[in-house]
Amino acid sequence: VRAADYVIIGGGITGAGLAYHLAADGADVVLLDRRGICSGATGATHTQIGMHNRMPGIQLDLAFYTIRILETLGAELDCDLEVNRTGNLMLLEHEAAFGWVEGRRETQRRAGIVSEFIPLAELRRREPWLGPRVIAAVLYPQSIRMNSMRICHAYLKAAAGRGARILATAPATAIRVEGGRVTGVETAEGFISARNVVNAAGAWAAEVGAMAGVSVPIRLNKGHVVVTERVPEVGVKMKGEVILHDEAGSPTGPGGGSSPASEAEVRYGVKFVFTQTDHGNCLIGRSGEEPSDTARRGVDRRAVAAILSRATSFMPWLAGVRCIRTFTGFRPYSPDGLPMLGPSSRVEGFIVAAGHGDKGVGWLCTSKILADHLTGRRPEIPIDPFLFSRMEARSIEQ
Amino acid sequence: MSTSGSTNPRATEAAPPPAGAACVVCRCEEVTAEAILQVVREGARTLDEVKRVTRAGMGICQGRTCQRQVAGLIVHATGLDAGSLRPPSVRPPVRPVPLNVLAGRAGTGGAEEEDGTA
Repeated sequence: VRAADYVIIGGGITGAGLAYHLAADGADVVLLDRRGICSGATGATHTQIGMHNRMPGIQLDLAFYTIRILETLGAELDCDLEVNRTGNLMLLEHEAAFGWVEGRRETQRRAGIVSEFIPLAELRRREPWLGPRVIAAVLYPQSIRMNSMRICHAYLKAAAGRGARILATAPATAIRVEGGRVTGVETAEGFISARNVVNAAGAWAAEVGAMAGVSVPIRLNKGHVVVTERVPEVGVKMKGEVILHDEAGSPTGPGGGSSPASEAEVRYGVKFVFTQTDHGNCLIGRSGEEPSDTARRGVDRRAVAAILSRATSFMPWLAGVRCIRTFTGFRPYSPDGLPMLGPSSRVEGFIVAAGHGDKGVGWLCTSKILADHLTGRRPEIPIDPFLFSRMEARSIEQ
Repeated sequence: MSTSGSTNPRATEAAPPPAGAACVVCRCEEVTAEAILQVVREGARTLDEVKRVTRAGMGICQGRTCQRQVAGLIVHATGLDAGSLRPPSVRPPVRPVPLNVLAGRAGTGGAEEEDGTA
């Protein structure tokens, strides 16, 4: 490989989607990854879009657009992406929170989010796996689950079918910038000249930005997830608590907030999230630690213990189920929580597609939005609030 | 043979030819040789990539049974040097452990404990 229109650095869901959309538009695309396809957050996630914690705004627009894309993407890419409208149960522990929940549901309903309150007796009948800690729940039937790794693979297969070249274990070692514009990428397999270089490196986006002299502000949050053996279907396939003191306007006084967390649960930022996959395995999370850096990828047994002690308090039935695997991943947040998409205003030809936080897969529409922007089409959702250049303007002001 | 009990693909010697496309390589997840060869043809070059797409090595034994065979198929299909294959990520626990046992470690003190590589 000697030359390309676009060199995309990062073989996660965002880079793979871009490779597909740009190649479909006729561009000559090369995609590089350092450690293999899906080796970052795309391969270390619950991969769901839970509607329970969505509120009106442009973040919700991204989620709905992603859901619309996923409805037809499997057929478009000719691959079973395991997209299922599983629904999601928001578990409630305190009657004092019911009023707040009703207000929230009303706000959500006006934005198109459907929900159903499930009182105690019905919940016990439908979800016998839940423990006494849970006294009611809200079902969000639009929530979906998909297989992020299959989506990523399918995007790249389709991109390759349109001429894209995928170098999955070829680290970018340098980005060449001459006269204020990028001219190509040095890789372990030689120099690739290109007028456009896309930084879709997820948790490594700051490092890749630095190669071009572009500051890409990323705050990392490390998470752990526990995977169990296959078990029979256990009710609604996605469920989880809502941490009330994290939510605006929620009751946080005695009896109003979430049940007290242990010191370890607080330290590791533990929150109970449960997902059962199409294959029967359960993914149990989650933890979130900051500050964090990608050098510390190992599994911390104490984080796992904290996740599981909280999980088994919500779903005591889990206690006897066996763990087969644990994994960690890094959520790469932008400073304002919105993705950073589009060209740098400082280095011509350097394009950013990063900062998706914990929603990279749930916002996979961003690769379509950016590709439309780059190829002169009008994105279905205006790209303006997500433009990467907002970060560069900000750093001038500071 | 390579070192007994080793699960490192670096220890894999000559690639075993596939016994047949329909041969089940990963018994836990019932993944055939053909399914693995298909994703290698589509570009997968590492054990982790094959695992993520086909589920080979994702089951209850976590690849202890099939890892060398999967590595062998990658080598067979690509001509890559077995020693150059990227070792798979190591994800604890080594054997299946009931969740209440792992939960029981909550509150144990001491330095941060990290296992494995991701």
